[in-house]
Amino acid sequence: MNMSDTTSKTLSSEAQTKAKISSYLKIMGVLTVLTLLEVGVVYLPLAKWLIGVIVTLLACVKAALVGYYYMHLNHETSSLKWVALSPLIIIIYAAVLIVEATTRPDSHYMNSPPRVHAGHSKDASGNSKKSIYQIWDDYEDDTEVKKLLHEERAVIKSSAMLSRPKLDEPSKASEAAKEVDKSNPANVEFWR
Amino acid sequence: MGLGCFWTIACRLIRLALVMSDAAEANVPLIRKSYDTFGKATHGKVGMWIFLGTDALTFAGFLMGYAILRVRNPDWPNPEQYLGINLSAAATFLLICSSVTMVVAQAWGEAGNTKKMARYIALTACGGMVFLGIQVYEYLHLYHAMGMTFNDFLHGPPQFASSFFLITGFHGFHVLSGVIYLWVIFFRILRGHYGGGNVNHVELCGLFWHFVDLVWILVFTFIYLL
Repeated sequence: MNMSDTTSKTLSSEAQTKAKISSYLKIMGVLTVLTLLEVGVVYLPLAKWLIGVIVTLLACVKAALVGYYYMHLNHETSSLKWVALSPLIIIIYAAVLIVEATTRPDSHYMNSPPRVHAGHSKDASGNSKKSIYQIWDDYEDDTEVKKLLHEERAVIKSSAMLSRPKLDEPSKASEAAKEVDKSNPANVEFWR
Repeated sequence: MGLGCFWTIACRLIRLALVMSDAAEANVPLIRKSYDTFGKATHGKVGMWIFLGTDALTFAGFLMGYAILRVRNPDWPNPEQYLGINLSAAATFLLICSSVTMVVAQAWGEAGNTKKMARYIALTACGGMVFLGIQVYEYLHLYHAMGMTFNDFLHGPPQFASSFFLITGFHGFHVLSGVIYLWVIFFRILRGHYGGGNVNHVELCGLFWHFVDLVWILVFTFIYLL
């Protein structure tokens, strides 16, 4: 079934092949350096949004390099290049969604408090803000509720973690959690 | 036996596609080629690019869903706290390496050296298999140590876990299909189908494989690093 032999092809010479391979290896070097840069940037003490922008740009450059040189778009006609670029129309949809999400008056995104990562960040009035999950994690270190939590965890694990821990049901652990909560006025936003 | 059946069906399906693309090539008098829209690109290649475009849109849809879930959820965790960045960076590097071996294989094929082509195709497929192994290890680790399942997450919103598994899992299935595709091409090279610089099919397989690499570069950035 070698019908495609009908398209006659001229073989490239060994020297040509080696030249091609060395150019591919150069691009591989660039891709490796860009990957290392990407991972390194994440650990730099920069603003979160700046890291996001840098990392996204680096990823786009890498993707373009792979598409242009490894997928041989540099040898194709402009029509085929446009076919390859066609999925980028998703950018229009993404732009619409982003504009919508950030301008809607009752948007959760607009009203949400600053994100809380590891460690306890403080808001303007000096109260520490914790997410409900952080509070959950913190109770693990509390000897009073430790035993109860472990019991509850055992139940969760025995059900193969099929359902998430029901925090809003009055279980033993969350009862204890509430009592600890009352003593600490910083956690008023527990049920937000 | 089940695996054998699966293998046979995969072989048959891919061969059917290849025969059809060959038939399209052989019928050149019926199709006016004078438009020259796509230059020397074969029909199979144009078809593969269109398929990759649709596939990219699927990934784009998933990634946008991920972005919206994340932006709307104030309790979203910092991914680097739970996902191992260094291991995934190594996996990214591995996929880049396997992309290189793929283009090298094609370059040798264009020179008519089928032996070296087969060797590099096998290397590429092995790279993909190691990547899958890393992914399985990572999934098991995330399940046992981080409490992440397909629909639950012990330390944060369950959407964090489910979107992670959906997107990386969808990509993993692409790697799996790419590995099967590569082995089929490998055995066809051994049977002497692609001698004399006739590497169109190898090139199509390469396009798919590079696409898998390209998508992983983006997924790695958006899921692990951002």
